[in-house]
Amino acid sequence: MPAIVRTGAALRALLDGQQEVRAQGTTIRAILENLGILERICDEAGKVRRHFNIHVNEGEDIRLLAGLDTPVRDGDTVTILSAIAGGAEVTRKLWLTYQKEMVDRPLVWEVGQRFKVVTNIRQANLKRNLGLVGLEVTGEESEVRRALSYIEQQGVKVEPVELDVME
Amino acid sequence: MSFVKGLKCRESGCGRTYPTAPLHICEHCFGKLEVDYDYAAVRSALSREAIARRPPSMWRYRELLPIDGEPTVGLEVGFTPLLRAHNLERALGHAEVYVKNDAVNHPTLSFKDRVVATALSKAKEFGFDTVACATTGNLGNSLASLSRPAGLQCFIFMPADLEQGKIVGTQVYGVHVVGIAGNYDGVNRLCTEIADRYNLAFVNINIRPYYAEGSKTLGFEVLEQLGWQAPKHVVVPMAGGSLITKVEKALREFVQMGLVEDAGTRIHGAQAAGCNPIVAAVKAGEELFRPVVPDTIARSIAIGNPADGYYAIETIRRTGGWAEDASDEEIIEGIRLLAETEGVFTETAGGATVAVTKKLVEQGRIPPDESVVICITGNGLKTQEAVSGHLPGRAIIQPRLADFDALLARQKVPLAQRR
Repeated sequence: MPAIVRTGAALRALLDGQQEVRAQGTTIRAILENLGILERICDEAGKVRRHFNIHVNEGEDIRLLAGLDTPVRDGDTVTILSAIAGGAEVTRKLWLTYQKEMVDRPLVWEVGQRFKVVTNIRQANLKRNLGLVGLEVTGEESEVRRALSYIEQQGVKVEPVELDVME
Repeated sequence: MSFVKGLKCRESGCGRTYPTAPLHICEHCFGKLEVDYDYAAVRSALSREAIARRPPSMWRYRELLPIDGEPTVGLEVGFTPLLRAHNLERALGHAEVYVKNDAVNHPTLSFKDRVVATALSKAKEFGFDTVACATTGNLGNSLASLSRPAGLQCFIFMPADLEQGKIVGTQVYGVHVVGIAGNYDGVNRLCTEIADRYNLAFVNINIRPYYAEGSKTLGFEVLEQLGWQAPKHVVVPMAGGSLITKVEKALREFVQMGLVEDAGTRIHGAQAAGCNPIVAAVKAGEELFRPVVPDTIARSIAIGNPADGYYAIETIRRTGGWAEDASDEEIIEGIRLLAETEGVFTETAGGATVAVTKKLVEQGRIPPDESVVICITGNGLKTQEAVSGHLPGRAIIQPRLADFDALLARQKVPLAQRR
């Protein structure tokens, strides 16, 4: 019997829109790997990103246990929560339009470093003169707003994925 | 009986499927969702004879529309005239020109009645009791009108500085009209947030996949009215870019259903020069467009960041079509040309479409012996201010016959006297 993996509403995109999925594995690392989300949960150093808290059966944060090597038994429930404290958590789905001069800059990485938000690239299309990136940004509402205005200050156009809705 | 399988992501390489629900964006790649049909079932249900027996409205193609039950809103919408435009042919130096005249669509004189009838029939199936849209005019007119007999609560969001005529044409239906102050980006953002928070059917946001399908009926009608034949060329105005993709989809579906033969139809797009992101991308051979800040009298097609622009570019390229734009002067000339040749008074978007057709004929992209259909999508009575200063003056005389005689002589008008 596999483990059950749950997320909060704001992180549902992690699990392809599901709030709950089943996954095989005897450690947190194996489970995340099997779900194909290990790289999204972890930073470059292989640690759980600071924005996520992971618990097994509502126990302690795995950081206080064996981290990614924390064992998981069949039938356990693994919960992935957003660690951002206070305020309502929101998820914004956005198109970023880059002009030529900006295409080489690692802007999404910068945003993840500067602000307490989780960024998730859903689509990217870079052409000779123009870049279009579909980005999901999750975090506390005010933090998301600050992150978006930072992106805009860098000369990148930020719009909801609906683009122009006026007809 | 429903022929709808569900929704499907339009992005090639994604194609994820979703149930029939008020969704419009693919959760995975942010691509747009499109209605997916059970074409095998449609094919066995739909024939030329079956269609021809039905009432003359857009609903005669109901199997290819995204509703589960019978239509409930806008039963009289569509089946507008397709004119053989002999006078315009002479003016353009072309042998076979048709005008699809949605300027006389019921009930609000634009092709938007098609998409709204579809959206509201679907919204009722979903159980919504409130509908809304963000509009620059035609869409608001149509939604306000059709929401009333449907018994739906209705919110119309418009920029606060819109022309008076468009506001009146919406207010008269007694719906909630909300003017939004500030810049255009703010209007966009607010409306997406409203659609997120409140339980309403925002026709051009959360039920957009269904709404957009209504545009196909313009294409279906053209094919039927040409005697179940596809034209060699179609010229379509582009605002958000949805209509042009749906005209092409209509053609593809009718070919696939065995209702018309594939004629290799080229689909061409028209924009105003003051708002031409799609045209610029097509001409530059780019797949992506650069958003622009609109500056044109053609307000109904002044969308700087077209939601379906990417797909419009793809449609034009795939069918071997082209895109051109028209300056404000050319748009006014286009309006006058269509009025003076065919007696059809279209709005600025139609003026742009006529002007662009003229250019494409002159460029040889539409050869003079290959049939072309010009899609006229809105009525000139709504945007009179666009042309009012550009028409020939009128003579004012005293109520005396001698004054009229003198006028004829002055203007050298050949009018024979009775014997």
